[in-house]
Amino acid sequence: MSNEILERQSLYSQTSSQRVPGLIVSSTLAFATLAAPLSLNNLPTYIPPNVSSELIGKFFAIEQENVDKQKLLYTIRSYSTYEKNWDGYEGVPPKNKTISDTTHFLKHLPDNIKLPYAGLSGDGEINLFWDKDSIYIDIGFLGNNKFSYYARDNSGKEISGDDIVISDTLPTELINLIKTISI
Amino acid sequence: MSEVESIITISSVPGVIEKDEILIRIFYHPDHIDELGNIKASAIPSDDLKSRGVSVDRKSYVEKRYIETNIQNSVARKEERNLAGFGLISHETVLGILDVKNSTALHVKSDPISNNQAHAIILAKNNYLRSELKKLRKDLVDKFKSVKSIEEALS
Repeated sequence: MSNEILERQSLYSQTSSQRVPGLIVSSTLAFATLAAPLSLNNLPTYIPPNVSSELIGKFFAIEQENVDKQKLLYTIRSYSTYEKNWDGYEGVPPKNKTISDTTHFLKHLPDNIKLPYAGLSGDGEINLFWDKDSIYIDIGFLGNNKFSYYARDNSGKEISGDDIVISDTLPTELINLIKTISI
Repeated sequence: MSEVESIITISSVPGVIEKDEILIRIFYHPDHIDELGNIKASAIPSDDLKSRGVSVDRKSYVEKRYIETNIQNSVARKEERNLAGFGLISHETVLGILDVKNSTALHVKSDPISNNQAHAIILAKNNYLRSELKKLRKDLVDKFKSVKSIEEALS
């Protein structure tokens, strides 16, 4: 288990065991009303005053990542409202399965990475893009439980893959490249 | 809001597209534009490159009224959508995009439609894999010159 997960658990356990004045954090909750049903993960969090500033800083970074991921998921889910010819070039909306494949993939990305931005193509493909630090990655989902990708690192070296079955394990060279992008 | 009908017919549009002809594609915010204001590669559908063709208009022949109507219809389809601008690219630049074997990957064909004789399509020359099409569309998007107004696009 990573240090960050342990620290997060430590923070939460302190929260539940102490009854002293502190700070209530509700940034995730604010977006949760738009992005996802309310769940235990989205409840406001109480931070006691004796927690170090370093740990609080890490907590906020994790919270921000959660908020950014919720926003991204919200964008992807919003594609289901698109109608035929949405782009003026006879574009088609994505299938529900395309949305679920993309969100499944996103949820299995490791923590502490630069999150991608999403795009919808006129052919119904949902894409996740990274384009930073001279690194470019385009991952596409068509709702067939598979994805394809094209990527270029900052030296111009290209990697690609087609018809890769979506699973909990992502291609190592792709994940390694994503991890090199600064947050 | 109902869509505006447009029936515009232009005669005397040549079937052969010259190498120095400029092609126009319309882009919308937020669907086609990333957080830094650049055109997303998803603005070029891979399937269109492969089979149906990516729609463009030939600058020398397209009617301003046709483009305006097209924009009006697209914007009306979704509340938060608005015009981001026009992507301009020369036929010759399209032909300069190469595949992994350093061969010309794309070509442009005249494809007149009932209300737009200046319609053309950009197509892949070979049956590329989806990952290869992703590379081609990225190269294509990077070569579009963006302008904001229809006057600039048609000047």
